Amino acid sequence: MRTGRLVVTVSFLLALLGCYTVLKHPEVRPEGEAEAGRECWRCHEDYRLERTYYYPRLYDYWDRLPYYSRGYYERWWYYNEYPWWWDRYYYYDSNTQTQQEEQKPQEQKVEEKRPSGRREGFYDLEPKVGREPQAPQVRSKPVLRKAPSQTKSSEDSSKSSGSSRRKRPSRRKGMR
Amino acid sequence: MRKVWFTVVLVSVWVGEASPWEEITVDRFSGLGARAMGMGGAYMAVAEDFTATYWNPAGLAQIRRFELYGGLCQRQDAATVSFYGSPWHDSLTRTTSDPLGMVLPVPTYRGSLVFSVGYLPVKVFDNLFGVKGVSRESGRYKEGRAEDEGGLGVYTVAGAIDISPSTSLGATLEIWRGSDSFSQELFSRSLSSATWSEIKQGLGSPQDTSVSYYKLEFEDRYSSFGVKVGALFRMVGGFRAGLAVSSPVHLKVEEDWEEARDDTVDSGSFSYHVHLPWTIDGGISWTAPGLATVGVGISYSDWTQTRYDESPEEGITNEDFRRRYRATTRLHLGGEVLLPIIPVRVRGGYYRDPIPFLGPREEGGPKVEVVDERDYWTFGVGVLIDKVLSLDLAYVRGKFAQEEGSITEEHKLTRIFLSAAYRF
Repeated sequence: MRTGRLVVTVSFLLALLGCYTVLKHPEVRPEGEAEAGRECWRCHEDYRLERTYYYPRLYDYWDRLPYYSRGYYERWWYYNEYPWWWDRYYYYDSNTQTQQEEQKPQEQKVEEKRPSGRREGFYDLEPKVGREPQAPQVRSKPVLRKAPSQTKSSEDSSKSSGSSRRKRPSRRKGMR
Repeated sequence: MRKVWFTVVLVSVWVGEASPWEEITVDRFSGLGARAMGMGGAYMAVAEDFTATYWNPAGLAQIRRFELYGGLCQRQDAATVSFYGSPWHDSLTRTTSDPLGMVLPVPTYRGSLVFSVGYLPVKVFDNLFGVKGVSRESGRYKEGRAEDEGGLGVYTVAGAIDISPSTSLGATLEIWRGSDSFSQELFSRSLSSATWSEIKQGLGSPQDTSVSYYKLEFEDRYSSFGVKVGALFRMVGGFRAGLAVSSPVHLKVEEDWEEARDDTVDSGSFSYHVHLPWTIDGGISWTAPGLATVGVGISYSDWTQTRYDESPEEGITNEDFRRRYRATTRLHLGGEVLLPIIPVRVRGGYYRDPIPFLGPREEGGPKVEVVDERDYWTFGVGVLIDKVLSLDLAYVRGKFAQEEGSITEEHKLTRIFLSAAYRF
């Protein structure tokens, strides 16, 4: 009898080892973006199957419901299907975003500021008092000049994103 | 000397009747959960609330919100006994707590992981029997009543997990606790001159030549551990299939008893074990989302495999379980319909719960002939209040009748389940 119980317990635990249930989202590394994408598709495809193929739920036929019954069915859906942690994550995400914005380091904000004020250099003034002279930015890799007829490459577009430390030139610099 | 011999004969007759051999822990399904019972107990492949801990623990994986569950149940047994043609009638009503528990779903990105803790009343011993009339066998007038009151419940910790998009597994760890109070009183008096046929024809009158009194009371306390594992498979088109297996339960019984015969009183206490067999439950359900759910379920137990480690009564052996019991398969059918406009579910169902005891209660006695199997019809209604509170009510009506020689026993059983499930 004890052997039987042991077999049942061990079988149950073994079944859990290769478990489908995921408590934490797998880490997605930027360098493996292509592979990660496929992984996401596989997981979320399963989830779609779970909802629509194995056990149809309300949101799969939501569009077919008359508008006046949606509130009625939504009530059941909320009771039976809506995970409690979805509320929490929505709240958590929005809250975290706000917190992150508030807690951004001052240096980062400085870096994002425009390097120069309006009409910088128009009047050949000395730098403002208390402001450190800006060191010239050195690019790690020179950007090749493209022919005018060529479209902008993805590499260029990534270099010109806001995350780059390269600061844009002043407006109308040298126009005078 | 003659008086002594007569007393010995009387006592031997009474003891035989006072200790009918039937193990109370065998069978005794009484149902639990208002939604489940409203659907006739066809809940093995539905199992969408805390009572899944009992019906099929894998069903817990379907619950996405915290749930607090509680309920009440009122049970009434109205018994009518025909004792050699003389009627006896009485009823017993008890209100007990239905399942009480909490469901705790763990946040997941995929699949489901859910735990629960709580209490489930799984067996109800309430039972009533009585006689009033002249026994054709002993030729004595008898009047008496026997009553069981109590039940078995399990304190549970359960968990369920999705192991694939279509499959959930679950397990319930059970701590069994319970009690049974049995009491019986029997008055008996001999008929001096009139014969049975004369009394039946109204020609003779019973004369009180010897009045005797017999009383037996005992209090049993039960404790044990058990495990139930289950699986739930979600199939194409809203079909679900459920399977659950309950491990054998080794119940430890501690008993205090007291017996009184006329002017002598005897008492004692002892303990023994009852080994209850495996139980296998299975079912299929179909859900049309937002419209209806129908289901069918069975529960199989081979009661001939019940065992004592030490017999609670003299002369009883484990061989008696093989001879006097049978395997039973309980059948459940039922469904629910979601009403339009108002958030109300209406339910109906049926279940048949075969009687496993075949008898005889004593050697040489008559076997139990089932006249009417235990058939129950169930009705239920549930309302969802403000998206978070589900109130359910179930009405269960059943009856059965059996015959043992010249004693016919008919029971009308009424059960009302009320439960509330709050999800947040």
